Amino acid sequence: MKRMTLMGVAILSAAAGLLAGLLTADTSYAATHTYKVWNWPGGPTAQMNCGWHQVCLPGQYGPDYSFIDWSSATGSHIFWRSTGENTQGISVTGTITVINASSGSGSTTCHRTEVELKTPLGTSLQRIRYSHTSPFSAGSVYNVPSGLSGVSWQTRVGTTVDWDCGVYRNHLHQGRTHTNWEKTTVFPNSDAPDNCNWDACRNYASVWTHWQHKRTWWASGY
Amino acid sequence: VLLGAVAAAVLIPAATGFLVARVFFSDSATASDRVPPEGGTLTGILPPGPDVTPEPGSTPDRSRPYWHIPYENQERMAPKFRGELAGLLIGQEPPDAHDEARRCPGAVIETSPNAMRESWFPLTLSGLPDGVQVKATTVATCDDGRPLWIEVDLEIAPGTAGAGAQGGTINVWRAPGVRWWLNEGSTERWSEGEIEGRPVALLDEIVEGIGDAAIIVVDEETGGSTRVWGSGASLALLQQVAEAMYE
Repeated sequence: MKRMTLMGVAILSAAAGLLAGLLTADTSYAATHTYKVWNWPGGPTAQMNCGWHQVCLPGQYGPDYSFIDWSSATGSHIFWRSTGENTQGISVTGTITVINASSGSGSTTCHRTEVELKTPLGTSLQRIRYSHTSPFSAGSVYNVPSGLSGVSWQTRVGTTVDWDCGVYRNHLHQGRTHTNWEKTTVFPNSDAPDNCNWDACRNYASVWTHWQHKRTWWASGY
Repeated sequence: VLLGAVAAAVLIPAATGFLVARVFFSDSATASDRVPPEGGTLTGILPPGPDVTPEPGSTPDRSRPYWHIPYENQERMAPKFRGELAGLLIGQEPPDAHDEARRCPGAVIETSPNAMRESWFPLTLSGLPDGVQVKATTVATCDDGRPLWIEVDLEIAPGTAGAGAQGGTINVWRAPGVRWWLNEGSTERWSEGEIEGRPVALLDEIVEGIGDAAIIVVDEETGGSTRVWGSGASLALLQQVAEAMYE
């Protein structure tokens, strides 16, 4: 009888131990890794300019107004700037492609460079749009550096155009094409999040870390 | 003795079970993959170089990381279409594209939905396919009163039929007097067709889910055209959007 009881206790203990082991095991390999890419301002100068398109005024920001304007001179270089981070520990987490997305014609051409982020499996994560910008090396594909801790990187993707669309003077108008780029913009000294009033936003240095678009995705590893 | 036997009966199986679970259900074996890159050393699977193209006759293996790069390389190296399709000039401009008469010294840009509805040739946006919604509209009019263009940005929700897994975007651009597009698509991606009785030029994706697709519709009303240009959107989905805009 005692032997039976001991065997029962042993079986129960083994089951309990197995359960405890399962509950505390690090099972992330079977679950998902997280991949993040932040996109930063691509302008060349230290001053931001609001109000070009009537979307940079208090009260006029809505959920889809992700664009911001950066002053620049004719022919200024425009950069894709990003920081990549992933829990898998790989150093490349996808690619970007430089795309000529210009519209219009002749002297009223609206120059537009779009940069499309893709996962290693080719899934489009949508684009960042650089308006009033002629593409630099359209069609080029670049690896997106990443790491366990953030890896920052930049590459030139365009050149600013004066009198763009026959209308706009020099400036970069930058934003997302799709709302699955998460906009996390909190401007210092503004009266509300996303309200980019003139005084709060004209200082590039102070808004560098406050204006960003972030794309997050999950996969079991590449 | 009994106490020892009970303790052994509890502790040994419990510890064994715990260890078994940790060994077989933990990913400690891949811990080395988590070492951060040092001194610029690259880790993980890296994309193929810019000269790598698909093996002739091969089909895409979408389970392999960076499977799409050879197809994009192939497209980049392929001859580009230069010529006329459906009465539209593709890949080049007409000689008068930059004539003085086409220029506009100043313009008014309006972004309200009302401006679109009241424009010279408004795009119909009421019958768009499920999952496709308007993100922004623009109407540009020259200071001398000439219409320049109207534009609509559409967003495609993830999971929409005919779109990428993460959704996509569509840009619709309509202009009078413009029947050309300086696109760099390869010859084999272009074809002609018809939508709602109108001639159209069609640009297909490079392979499904990779590369843009587009439809350019000839507008007899304005002597111009309307371009429906999608990213993460199949040609079939763009066709539904184009049809909705001309109903």
